[in-house]
Amino acid sequence: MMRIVKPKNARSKRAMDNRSPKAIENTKRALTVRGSTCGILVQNAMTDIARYKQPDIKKFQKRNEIHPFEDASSLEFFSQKNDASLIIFGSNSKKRPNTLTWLRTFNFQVLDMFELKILNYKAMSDFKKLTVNVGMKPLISFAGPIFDSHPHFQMVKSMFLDFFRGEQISMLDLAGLQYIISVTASGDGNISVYSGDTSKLPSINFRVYKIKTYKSKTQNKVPRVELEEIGPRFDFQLGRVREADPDMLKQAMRIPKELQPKAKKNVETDLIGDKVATIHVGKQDLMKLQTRKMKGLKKRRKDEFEDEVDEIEDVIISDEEQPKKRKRQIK
Amino acid sequence: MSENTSMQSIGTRPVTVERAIPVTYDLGNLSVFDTNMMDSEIMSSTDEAKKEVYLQSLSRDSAQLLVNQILALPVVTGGRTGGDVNHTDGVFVKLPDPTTQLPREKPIPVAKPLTKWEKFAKQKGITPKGRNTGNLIYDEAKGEWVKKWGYKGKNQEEPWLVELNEKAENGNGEESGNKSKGTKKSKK
Repeated sequence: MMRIVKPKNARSKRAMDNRSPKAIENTKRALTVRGSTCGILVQNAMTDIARYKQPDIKKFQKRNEIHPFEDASSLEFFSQKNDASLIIFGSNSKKRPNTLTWLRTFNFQVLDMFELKILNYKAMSDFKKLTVNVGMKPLISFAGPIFDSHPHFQMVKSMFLDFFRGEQISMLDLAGLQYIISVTASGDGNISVYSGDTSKLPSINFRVYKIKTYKSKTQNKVPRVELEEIGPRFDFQLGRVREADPDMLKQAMRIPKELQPKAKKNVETDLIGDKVATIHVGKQDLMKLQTRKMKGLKKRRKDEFEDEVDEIEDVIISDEEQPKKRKRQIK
Repeated sequence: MSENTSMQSIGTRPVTVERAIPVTYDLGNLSVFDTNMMDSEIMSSTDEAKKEVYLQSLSRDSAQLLVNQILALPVVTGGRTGGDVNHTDGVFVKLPDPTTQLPREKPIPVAKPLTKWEKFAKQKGITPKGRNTGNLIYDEAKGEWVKKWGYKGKNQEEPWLVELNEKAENGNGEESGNKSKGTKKSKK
């Protein structure tokens, strides 16, 4: 469907190469799409969520007649055109009021998606105005055992992490720890996935707080953390879920060879915990070994030797001969 | 000031958090995962305010734990490496790689098949000639980098030794002829 664009200059080639598959990927970009019946509440909700994804998000303004769970092809097309692998689709119907459909793509095809119905919503504008700089990495906290036990909630956790984590950085400026997104769900998740009754599942509480640090008297280096809610505040109810196709997921989870940790050979850790390594030394030529220096064994020129012997007196000659012999034996 | 008193009380509050099941971290993603059971009574109650207070205190504890862990990471002071012009000074911590594996957005790149020329070059052992290394060259005598060409370039050095033509020499031992051999003519 998409025509292959051939780059006409170096600039467009660079842009194309940036979008092409890479070993280390770019930060995932997102889109917010409005359904045909998307109301003002859902629009505001998406705007508030988008605030924490800036600048890696694009907000569509027009309404689109799309039903993701029936046919997601137009969303796949949007994803490909905009190089965005995360999409939030907002809709509102009698059966599913105020619903956000979150979906992820792999290779511009739907990987997985789920519906979150908004039960409660308090907009950012309703909270005390506390600014958080655009593009800051958030602290993310998940509380509740259900995020580890229930497969659908695991998907929600994975999607939220993917969405909000932002740019991958190795050095963090401590001034950049500004806000925390806290996602909680009560219950232990001992509810069958296939029961189909999603109303029994616990609601997901989504809160965003600004972090304030205070000097602590107890410990000098570690500050006391206090939070202040900046919104938005959501209570979500998990709706329909479309799990990832296992083959596609397997492909998506593959780690390229360049990034796989290299196993260090010949280094092992002892039972005690000591690091032990084997050094492989090459074969030694024993004929060319360098032993201790023994001056007497040095090969001298014959005349020098004879001169020395003549110099020495008779009495000592015998003594001289003895030690020489001894030296030879030591060899 | 009321703010001072509240600051004082905050200062005495603990910085450690007790949890039944220890939390797990993903510092590369700045995340904390708490699998402790939540208070179902508060969570299912209709009292909104009580629930919010509980959620905030829970989040505060998680944030405190995470901040404690982040501050325990090795600190790097000074500018960020990699030529980032926006960062000059600052206190940075070196974050580890993220531990939670998240799906990729595009498949792993496939190595492109070698072109006909590339195959030929590889077989013959032809390597690309070294690109232009710029104008600077290391001068061993001076022990510094000088320009190869251009203003005050090395190629415009006046030779420190100029051979004399024996025939041109006079009987007196004086030199004749143009003494400006090898020197650069100045522009008028």
